[in-house]
Formats: sequence, structure tokens, C-alpha cells
Amino acid sequence: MNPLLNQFLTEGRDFLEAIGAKLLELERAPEQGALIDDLFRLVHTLKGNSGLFDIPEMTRVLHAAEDLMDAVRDGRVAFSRELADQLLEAMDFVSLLIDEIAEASTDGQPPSTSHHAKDAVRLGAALRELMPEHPQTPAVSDAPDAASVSAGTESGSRPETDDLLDNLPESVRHDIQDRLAAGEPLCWLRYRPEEECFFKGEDPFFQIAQLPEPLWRRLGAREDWPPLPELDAYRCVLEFELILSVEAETLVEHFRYVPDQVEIRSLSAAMPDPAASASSSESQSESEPSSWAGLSPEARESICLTLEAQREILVLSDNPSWLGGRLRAVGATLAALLTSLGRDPAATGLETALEAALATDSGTYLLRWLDHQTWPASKPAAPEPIAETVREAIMAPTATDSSPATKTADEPVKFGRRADDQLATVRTLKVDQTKIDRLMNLIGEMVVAKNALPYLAARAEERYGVRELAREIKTQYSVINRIAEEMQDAIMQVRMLPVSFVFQRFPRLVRDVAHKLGKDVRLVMEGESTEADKNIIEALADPLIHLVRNSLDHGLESPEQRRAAGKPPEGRLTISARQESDRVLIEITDDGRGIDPDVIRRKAYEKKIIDETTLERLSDQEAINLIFAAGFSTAEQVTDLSGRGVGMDVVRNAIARVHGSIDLRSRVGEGTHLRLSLPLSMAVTNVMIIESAGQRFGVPMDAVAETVRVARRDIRVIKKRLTTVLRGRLVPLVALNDLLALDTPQIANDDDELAVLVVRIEKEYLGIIVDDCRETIDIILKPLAGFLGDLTGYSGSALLGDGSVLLILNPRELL
Amino acid sequence: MKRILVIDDAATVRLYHRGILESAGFEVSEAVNGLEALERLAEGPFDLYLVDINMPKLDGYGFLRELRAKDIPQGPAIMVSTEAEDNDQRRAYASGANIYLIKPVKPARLLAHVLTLLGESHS
Repeated sequence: MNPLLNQFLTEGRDFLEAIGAKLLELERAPEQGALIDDLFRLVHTLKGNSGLFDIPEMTRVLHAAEDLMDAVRDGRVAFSRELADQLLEAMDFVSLLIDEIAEASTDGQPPSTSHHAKDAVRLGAALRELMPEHPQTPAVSDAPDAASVSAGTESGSRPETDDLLDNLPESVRHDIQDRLAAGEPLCWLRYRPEEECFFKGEDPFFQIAQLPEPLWRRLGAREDWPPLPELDAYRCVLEFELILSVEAETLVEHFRYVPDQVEIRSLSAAMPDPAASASSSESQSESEPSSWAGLSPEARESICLTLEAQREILVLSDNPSWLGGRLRAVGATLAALLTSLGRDPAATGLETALEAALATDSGTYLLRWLDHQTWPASKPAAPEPIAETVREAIMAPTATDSSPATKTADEPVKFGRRADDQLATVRTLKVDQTKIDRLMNLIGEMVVAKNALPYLAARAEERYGVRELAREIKTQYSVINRIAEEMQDAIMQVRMLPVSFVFQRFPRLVRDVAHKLGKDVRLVMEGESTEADKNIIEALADPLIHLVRNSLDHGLESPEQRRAAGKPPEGRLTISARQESDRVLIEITDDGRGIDPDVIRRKAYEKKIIDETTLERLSDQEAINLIFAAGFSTAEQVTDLSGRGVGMDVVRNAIARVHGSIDLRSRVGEGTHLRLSLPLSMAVTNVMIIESAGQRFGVPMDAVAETVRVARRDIRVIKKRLTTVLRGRLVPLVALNDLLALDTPQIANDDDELAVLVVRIEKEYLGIIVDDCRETIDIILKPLAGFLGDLTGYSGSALLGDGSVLLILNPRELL
Repeated sequence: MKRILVIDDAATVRLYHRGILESAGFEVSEAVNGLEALERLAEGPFDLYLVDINMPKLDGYGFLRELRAKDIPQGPAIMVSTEAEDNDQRRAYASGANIYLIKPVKPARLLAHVLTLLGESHS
């Protein structure tokens, strides 16, 4: 993508984020002038940025928002909730456009967003409605749609017939003048075929080709050509201009089927007196040095504007204390202007005039100097000599178009960066995520590669008997190991994101949802700067939103209910984050009605999640945990907000996927407390290696409760399941070979004891019988890809130091 | 190489200007507000200043007044704003700007002005 557009989108998102935050802040403390200023500036800058691109819908809405904020800043409009609502909606719209542009943009140009034109008009009008006088902005500055905008900018560059002759190449003009003088009938013709003409069987080019050889012709486009992929070849936007030596009647006859698409003028009438024209061009060439003739329209404009501005500056009568600086700046400007025109400033007496001005503390001398110089006129004396190219141009419409000068200059600028760029002030880098991921993968490989060294040392000693070398390899290994670990740590730091990444949307979410439900909620957020790995934070976003919605929807009561219960009418929702050793803890607490275990028991029973015996046996806490069971939802009615068919079981699974856990405590009438515990990072996984049927597997350590040896005679069969008693607790057993459908019995040791790996899944314990348990190692877990990706029994694979591949079991799925 | 200081709080605008100016072979420095721009003057005066008006901390007007009060070579300044009102133009001139342009400035136009104000040939 075009880096400029990319920058715009990134910055735009930041701005929207900030605007949203400021609006909410302002709602809490509406009297803060500084906040309003900030808000205005943000909207203003965003609008300015959007103006760099052709996104009329976005600019339109932002323009209205800017005007409104300006009015708020001036005190013409009071800040209100309605106003905030309206602005937030407008910003949501802009955000939508930004997302759309980010999605669709492929060639560096933002895609057309004209299908949103209606919304833009509606939002713009809604914002203006809030203005005191809401002046109807003239249609020109606030054009109704994209089409008329481009048409508006377009019309300026089209040559009018009146100054037609001015735009002709010199040689053609002379030729025409000679012919006219000789009494030849000449006609100027402009033919603009209909856009749909190809579908009507018309052939504009054939029409033109059928005419006699013209004296001059030009083929152009009525509007700027769109980028090639968007070009609609069946839409005719061509424009033909010709000067022919024929009678006007002949042309009228020739174009009799499309009279509305042609403009014909007989030149003998429109032609100015040849003598006058000649003398005027002579007088211009006298006053202007030839080098000025090649000036582009932009250059002329800049020279004229600069001169005019310096005049205005010099006549200012405010006499500031730093007038000298102003005069010297004007002097420098004029000197530069002269140099740019190829003149030597020293030869013009500019310096003397400046000195005199500085001595008298007045701009008079410089003004006088200005008046005595000759300057280029704002319009070129003669157009660029393009006579020869024009003849070919008609044959190759894309090569030379009607405005070659502006075309080339307006081409997208290349944004190259040079080594001497001053980047000293940049303290934050925005880096593409894929680059970080690549670093992460590389360091992963490095960690694995480094693990080969101990194997190498062992081989050196055992096989080749060189102990000295083995020791040296080990020493070197420890150095590389340290560096690799630090590097890994550093890269992980880069991947760390503060939880505010997720938290920042809560103020808005809570506000909107509470609004909708008619509840008063005070949101308190703590520990937003707590950091965790990007993947963790991102995985957290949806579950957290769901939990917050649940709290608002089911947890907190309406103000009336709260008053009746003797609570303050405003509910309180606290979201906090903190780090505890290598876990991030996120807590969501509300002081709402809490969860009634009896209601849960009843529901669970009705939904056949539990049977009668369980119903009686369940403790209150166990009952509450039932809301995590699949297919459980306590809401009496499915509301718009939280009842989206996503239950708490989905939340819990999402958390579990990133090796997190969720804990819920609740007291009836007092509120609910949810605690999410997540790892800081999931890049490195600690696994235990186990052996079974001659193969090695890994089991994530966070699932492993203990490893024990169980004598075969202690294993009983209860209800057709293998079971044993460990420290007074009944633990069901399964053989790994059975789970993996490996057709060999588990191997016991010499004392006829079997190795059992006890894993904990949720609150349940389960023993997996394996052949042997080995050491634990740190691995970089790579998910299984391709056709292996469907194997849910494995959470991934890892490369070991000796080059072998270790499959990591996923006990949760396996059982 | 001629040095240009681009002062704007919007990174997009800075990038836009940088792209145009660097493609024409000028050296571009950036500042995100008037205060930072004043600090950049420690590196020596610039040949041209491209100044936004609305910025936090110190706005474009404030920066130009401070600049013009300094006893250093005074380079021309282009004030760039989204306001099309006559008032702002006069205020810009009174604050020390040399020309006043309305955003967005088309690359070709901006370049022409920069060439004029830096004394570079237009051809």
C-alpha cells in the first residue's frame, strides 16, 4: 500500500481512538476548556489529513464535526450528551470508512466510498442540525457527492473557446491567421461523445476520421483517467477538439445525429484582429525574458502569489518589535524568487532596498523596489510549443493528453527515505506484526539449534573420547544459551502489549450498553498498563467484552431495583489487571444482584445438564460453576446485548485456548467477581517428555499435576474403568497407548509398577499410564499445519536439539 | 543541500510533505509542534519553513513570531492551513509567514512554491 495512505489510516485510527476517549472524558467533566480544544484540534487535523485523499464522504462528515466542535469551543453551542452521541456516531462512520479503505486499497489509492454518500449526507446534516444557526453551507464548498466534486475541479482546466487561440501552438496560430486573412472559412469544433455512445453503435473516432484533414486537433479526456484497474473501457470520456477548413454548415450536417454533443464555431467571427493579436504578443515578449516563457502554470502562480503576499506583508502597519526579522524574511523571499527566475538579486538593488527598509523600520523601500521590477504575468504569454506532438497525439490518446504539464507533476510522489533522515526525534516505531513474528520464529529456531550443543558435547566425550573438547563446547554453550535467552526475552518484550489495548474500548461500551438498558453504571479501570503477550491480549478481547456485557446485562440492576435493595442507584463495575509472577490476572467485579446458586441448580436440572443425584450433592460454588457448562444460559429472555447465543462455555474455552483459567465467585445480592488468570506469554512452553510404545511425546507442564509409579496390583476396575487410589483420592486411569490407538501394552518397570502421569483438567484429575516419564524442557510450540491441523489431540509439535520432532499432546482434547 | 523544516502535528501531513520535498532533492527535517521546531533551530537556521497553524503546545503563529525575533538568517516561511478565511491569511502574514496556502496543497503547486522560495529554477 502507498505509505502515505497507510500512514493516514494508522494515524486516523489513533485520532479516532483519542477523539472517542476525549468525548467520554468531556461527558464526565463538560466544563473543561482544554479538553474541548484538544478535541477540536484532533477533529480538525483528521479532517485536514483526509483532504489529502479523494474521500469526499469522510471529509464531509469531518468537516461538519469540525464546525460543530468549533462552535462548542467558542461557546456558541453547549456540550451535551446528544451532541456527544452524534459526534460518536460520526466518528464510527469515519472509522468504518477507514476500515473499508484499509481492506480494499490495493494500488495506493483509496477506493471509492461513494456508496456511503447517503450516510455522509445524513451524518453531516445531523451534526449541522446541532449548530445554533446551522447555516446551509453553499453547495459548492459542501458538494453533495463525489461526482460533482470531481466535476467541479475539472471545469477549471478546460480551455474556454474564448481564449482558444491563446492555447494553440505558435505555428498553428500563424497558419490560421494567414488562412483567415486569405478569407478561408475555418471552424473550431469540440465533440464530446456521450459516455454511453459505444452502446448506441456510435463510433466517435470514425466520425472524426471522416472529416477532412484538420489544421489542428487535440484528443483529450473529460476527466482524469482513473487507475488502470478501475478504468471502464466501455465508458467514453473522450473529447475531440479540431480546427478545420470547412464551412460550419458542413460540420452541422456531419454531426446531425449528435447535435447536443458538438460545439461548432466559425473562426472568422471569433478571431481577434490579427494585427492586434500580433502586437499584443510582441509587447509581451518584449517585457518578459524568453526564459520565463517556459514557466509552468504552477510556477507562475507561485511567483505571483509570493509577490502579492510580500506586498501585503510590507503594507502591514502593526510594527511588532521583531519587524526586522519580518523584513529580512521578505528580503530573503524576494531574493530567492529572483534567483529562481534566473536573475542575480545583487544586480537588482534588492539588498540596498532591504538595508534602507531595516534602517527606517518600514517596508516602504522594499515596496518601492517591488514596483520598479518587471515580473512574469500570471498567464503565460504563449503556450508551450507542442505543435508537433499534437499531430501524433490524436493517434495515441494515452500518450499526450490535453494537460501534459499538470499530469506529470501530479504523479504520485515517491516517498524514498535517505540515510541522513533525521530520525532522532522518533522514539516509537510502528512495526509490521509479521516482522516481529519472523523474529520470534527465528529466535525459536535459534533456541532449538543451540540445544544441539549439549548433544554434541556428549558425543565428543562418549564417542570420540575428547573430554577437553566436550568441556569447551559446554562452556561455549552456556554463553550462547545466555545470549539466546536474553534475546528471546527482548523479543518477547517487543510483543508485549498493555491491557489498555482491550480496556480502552470499555468506557464507550459500558456507556452505550448502560444507556440502552437504562442503567446507571460507574466504570472503574485499574492497572491498564499491565502488559502481556500480544496473542494473549488479542485472545482476551472478545471474552472480556462478553463478560462485561454479561455484568451489565444480568449482573447490575436498574436504578429502581438498586434503590429497593438499599444500594446506591449507580452500579459499580470494576475491571482491573495486574501481574502476579508469570501470570496476568484480570478481574471483573460488579456490585449487582449476584448469581443465585438455587436458580442455577434448577436451570441446570431443567436443561438436563445435571441429574437428580448431582442436584442434591452440588455445593453452592459448584452450582455457580455450572454456568460454564455448554448450553447453559440463565437469561430469561434473549436480549440484544449479551444473548447472542454465546454462552459462558465459549468464554471459558477461549480463555483455555491461551492456557488461561477463569474463576467465578458470587454472592446473592452483593455482586459477582470474575477472575481470569492468563500466562504472560505463550511463546515458550514448558513440557514434560514421556515415553510410550517407543515414542516420545510432550505434555504441557501446566496440565501436569504429578507423576507417580503405581503398582499393577493397585489398579482396579470400577465401572469398567481403570482406577487407582492416590492419597485417598480416586483417580481414573487410561493407558496412553489406548488413547493413541497404539497396539502395544504399556511397559512396567522391574517392580511391576506403571508410570502414571496425573493431569489436571479443570478440577478433575486423571492418570495417564505411560511407559516412562522423562525430563522437562522448554520448547517453542508450533501448531500443526496442513492436513495435520485437524488432529485436535495434539496441540502442536516442537523441534528438539537433536533434530527430532516432538509431538505435544493436548490432554484436554485427548480425553 | 537546501534544508526545509516541516512543522505539523499530523504525521500524515509530515509524510506527505516529506515525500514531495525529498523527491525534489531537498533535505527535510520534521517537528511536531512549534516548541519542538524552536528546538530544532539549534541545529542552525533552515532555508525554508513549512508551518501548520493549529498545533498543541505552540501553534504556527507563535512559532513564526519567535523565529522572526531571532537574530539568525531569516528563511521564508510557508504557512499551511485548512482555513480559507481572509482573517487567517492576514494573521499569518502579520506573524511572519511569507505565503499562505490552503490544505491540501497539490504536489505540483507545493513544489512550485518551494522552488520559488528557495531560489531554485523552475525548469
